[in-house]
Amino acid sequence: MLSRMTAPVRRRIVWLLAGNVGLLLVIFACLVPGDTVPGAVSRLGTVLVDTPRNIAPEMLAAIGLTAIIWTGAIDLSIGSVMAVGGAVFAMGYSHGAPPVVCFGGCLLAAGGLVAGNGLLARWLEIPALIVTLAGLAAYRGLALVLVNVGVPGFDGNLTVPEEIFRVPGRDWAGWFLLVAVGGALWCESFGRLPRLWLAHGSSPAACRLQGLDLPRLAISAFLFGGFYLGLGGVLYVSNQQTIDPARMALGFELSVIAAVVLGGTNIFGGEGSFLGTLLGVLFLYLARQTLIYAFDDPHARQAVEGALILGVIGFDCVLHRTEHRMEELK
Amino acid sequence: MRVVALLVLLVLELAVFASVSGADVSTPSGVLDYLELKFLDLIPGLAPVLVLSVGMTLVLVTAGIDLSVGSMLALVAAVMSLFDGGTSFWFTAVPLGLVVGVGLGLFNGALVARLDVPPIVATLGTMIFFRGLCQLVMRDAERAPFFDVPGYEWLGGFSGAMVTVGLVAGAGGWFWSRSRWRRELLLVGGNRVAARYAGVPVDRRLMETYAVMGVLAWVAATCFTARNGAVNASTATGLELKVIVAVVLGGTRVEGGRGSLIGSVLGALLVAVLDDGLREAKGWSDEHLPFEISHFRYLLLGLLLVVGVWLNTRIGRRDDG
Repeated sequence: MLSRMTAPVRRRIVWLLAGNVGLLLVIFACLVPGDTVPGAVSRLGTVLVDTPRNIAPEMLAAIGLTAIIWTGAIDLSIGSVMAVGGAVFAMGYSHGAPPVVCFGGCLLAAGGLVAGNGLLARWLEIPALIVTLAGLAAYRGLALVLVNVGVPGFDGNLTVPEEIFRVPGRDWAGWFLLVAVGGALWCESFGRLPRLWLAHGSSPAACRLQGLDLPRLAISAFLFGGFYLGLGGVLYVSNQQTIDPARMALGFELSVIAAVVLGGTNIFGGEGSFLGTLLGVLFLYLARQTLIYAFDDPHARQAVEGALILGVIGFDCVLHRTEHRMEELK
Repeated sequence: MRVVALLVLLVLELAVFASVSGADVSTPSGVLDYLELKFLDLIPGLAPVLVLSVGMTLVLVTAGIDLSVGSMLALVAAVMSLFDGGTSFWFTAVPLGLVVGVGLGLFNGALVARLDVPPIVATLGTMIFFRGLCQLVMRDAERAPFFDVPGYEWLGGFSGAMVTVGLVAGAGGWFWSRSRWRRELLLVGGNRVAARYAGVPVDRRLMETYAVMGVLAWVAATCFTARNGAVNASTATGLELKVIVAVVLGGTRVEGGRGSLIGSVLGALLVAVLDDGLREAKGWSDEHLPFEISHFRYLLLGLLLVVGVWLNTRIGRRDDG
């Protein structure tokens, strides 16, 4: 797998590994003053044990988005897509449907909308960026309309007290993550499609000369992305005690994009790796945990997190700046 | 052609919502009364969108986008609200608001021009960052010093809003139709490489454009606070999409290189009438629809954006080919 990566992506992976270890040390350092050393170690252990459950939705969504970004496209609507998944879940739940039907509906709705974005961009011949920017608002509206129509007596949110509905997101998240991540890494190492997606993003003209069907490749990336985002949506929804489509997954897209870019994926497409994305998601999660332990003021967290994400994306763009300008002048 | 189409759409929209709202429009005087009431109510609330749509046109012309305008407006208003009402507000809070607006615009410009961050990603990031700063400034409070400032409330009325919008649109239009700056912005948006070869200082022009957006965010914040009188951490959430939809409907291409200020102003009117009409139609919708019509607004905005971009792309291709 590593042999298929470009040198900057390999360097980024090494840097991220070091960064994640560093953040764990910082968290430990924040825990020590208020606790004994064994107590701090125990609390750090709790943070680590909770990590798979907490990062599973974001990690799965990030893998899906990585595939889409590789082709040179992007999906800005993933937060709203999650809200639609939640709305479909709420509709099923309120009508007494069994968990498998509720989660199946959520997966199909979320995955279908992402794949639909790709199809719409191809059909209308407009950038995926615009289609998904429109989706950011439209899907949120769709989610609200769906719960209004499909959930009897809906008053802003729906509480799901039954434990059975929380099992996938709470108890199985780690296993889901293991299988899905394993599948993605296997696909990246041995599959043909990920290479073609990278080729598409790197040079569409060269791909055209090679006889590749670019629209079909882009659609396949959106289908792959839709499947992973749908899975992420299922885990996200089942991890929530209440379904509130108006606020659900607000700003989710930015943290996922930041994780993907941080993982070494070029925002313009054509470069990156799933492994880097996984480490990028982990880095952002640990950074957030550090903020929780380091800042008592919850109002400061969004600003610091926003600054961190901007810093990361800005840093990445500076690294690619010369290359991008040279490409532009060619 | 586009302007005529927008005007026809505007008239159609007004006719549909007049009938749904139950207004008496059976006689010419009834129509005039309806329009007078409508616009007296609509224009002051619409002023921030109109002002920002002028700036967004410039940004889109350079093949950029600014998703942070709502957060910028909120942050500028939040900073201004830290000052006590009174005459001194004009000499302290208002100039400081301008400085903050220009600073935020330049920050966006630096990300886009100096660091080469794609505009959509850069401003999506600053949208969250500025909103975070706004929360830091406001916390959970709502501040309302604006109505204590002598003469400030006038800016939020019909005449104040008309003067502000007229000045911004007039100055923008005059500058747009005569300056070399406009040609250079169109070139930057149309073909950045060609612009560099032609000696246009691309990075500087981009910085200037985003700085103008910051200034207009300050103007919009002034109009907004003069109208509403209070500000909190979630002020102007979702405003960016309305502004973008208005500009795109007005005929400005998101790929850059083509834009119309008058189109943007008409687009903003179209979006505002739609927004207001859906609010007025609540009584009708409660009787006839199984969902709240206000939720339908997001769907319509998304749909309008896609349709607007699609139309602009088709028209652009026809003109180019």
